[in-house]
Amino acid sequence: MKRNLFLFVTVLALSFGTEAQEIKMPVNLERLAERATEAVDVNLDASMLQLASGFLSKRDPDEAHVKQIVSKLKGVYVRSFEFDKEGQYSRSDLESIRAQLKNPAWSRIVGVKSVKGENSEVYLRKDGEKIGGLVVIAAEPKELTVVHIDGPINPEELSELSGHMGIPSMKLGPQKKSSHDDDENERQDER
Amino acid sequence: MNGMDEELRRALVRRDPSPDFTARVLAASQTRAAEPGLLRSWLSRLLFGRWAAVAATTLIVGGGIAYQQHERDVQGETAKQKLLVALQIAGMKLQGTQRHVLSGGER
Repeated sequence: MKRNLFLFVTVLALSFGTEAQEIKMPVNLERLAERATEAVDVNLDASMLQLASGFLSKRDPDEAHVKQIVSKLKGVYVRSFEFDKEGQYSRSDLESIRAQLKNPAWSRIVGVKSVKGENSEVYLRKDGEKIGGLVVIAAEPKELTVVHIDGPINPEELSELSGHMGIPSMKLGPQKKSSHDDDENERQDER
Repeated sequence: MNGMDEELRRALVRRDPSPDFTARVLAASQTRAAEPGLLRSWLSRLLFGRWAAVAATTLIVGGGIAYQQHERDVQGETAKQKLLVALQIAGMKLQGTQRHVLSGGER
């Protein structure tokens, strides 16, 4: 009887531990694809990441850098939707993910709201002293993106891709704003 | 009894062969030498059949392996492209957030 109780508690603890780490993309997000003009759906678990990594070129500096980033990851999941008009999704569509991110293992490190309705949130999961996962939720009037990277990831490593692989380069630190920079940034955001 | 003796005597009388007898015998013996024996014929058909089966099996297995490798290559390339797109999106969204933070949320 005591042994059975011990086993039950162990299994329960393990299952909670597992749930704390996994973020499941809610089913209602998939339905947004029907209303979207463009939808990106990426599900790469550890085995698929390993397969993809094998096809990354070591000679190409960008791909070699990606290979290095990916070597430690357990999964990469993306849902991104572009709509032709506003109001195609609601806050409740994201509640399921936000509820999972309320777990103590996850910390919201950035939350940005803008008057134009472009809201961004960045969550990191702690794995001891290291980062064990990253979630980015970017909600714009006509675009919604959820990114979940499972595994040790340094956001700076992703930032290092800036200027490569189609990611616009961004200069950090105080800089003079010019109309050309604003136009370039708007064009990049629209993309 | 005498009738039977007479018949036997007539049957056993020596007769000379026809003029073409020798030629006929020689021709028949050469034809038999050209034809393979039944056993040899059967063995050669069996061996050919086995080699053909081995060759066909090798082709099928080799083709299957090549097809599987091709499928794996297609799957790997697709996964690679998806990964690059995913990281591109993640990088752009993080950069957008960073820009928001640096600009104080105003644009």
